[in-house]
Amino acid sequence: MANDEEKENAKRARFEKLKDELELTVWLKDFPRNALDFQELRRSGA
Amino acid sequence: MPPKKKEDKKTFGQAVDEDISDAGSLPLLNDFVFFNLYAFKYRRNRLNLEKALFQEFYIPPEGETAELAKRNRVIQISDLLNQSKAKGYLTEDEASKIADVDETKLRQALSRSTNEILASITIPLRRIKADQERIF
Repeated sequence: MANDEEKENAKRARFEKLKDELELTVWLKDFPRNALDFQELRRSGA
Repeated sequence: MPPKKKEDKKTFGQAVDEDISDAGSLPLLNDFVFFNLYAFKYRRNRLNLEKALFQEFYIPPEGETAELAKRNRVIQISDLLNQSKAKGYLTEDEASKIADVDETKLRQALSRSTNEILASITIPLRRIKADQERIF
């Protein structure tokens, strides 16, 4: 259990380090990439 | 009394018309632009991951987190539609009922808007980086 937590913490630390090195992070949320995505977007009406 | 200086209302991430002719001479950013590249069997799992990502990357652009927010952005469909309306790629009616819009037109509108929003985020940061490199 404690081992899992350590692994999780190490993973988190690696992620934070990687994030610190980045100057910009952009997430294109819900961005339609293919015909199926476009269909879903159009159906949802956004 | 000197004339009041016009306040610069440009903010990061707000797509505006600005001169980007210097873009070629600016340093590149160590950036990471991503979209959803996963497939889940259950919709709930996808929504949970999206929620976690949103909490990680959506940072309020005001107050103490304003500086951090310049470097962590979430671009949503609503941002793209707003930009498309602002630039006239889509009319108000089209943006509110995209199911009726010609697919090619919609693709072009969203692509252009994405490029413009990305440029409005990256160009100011690249200018800051260029200034910092000049100083050091």
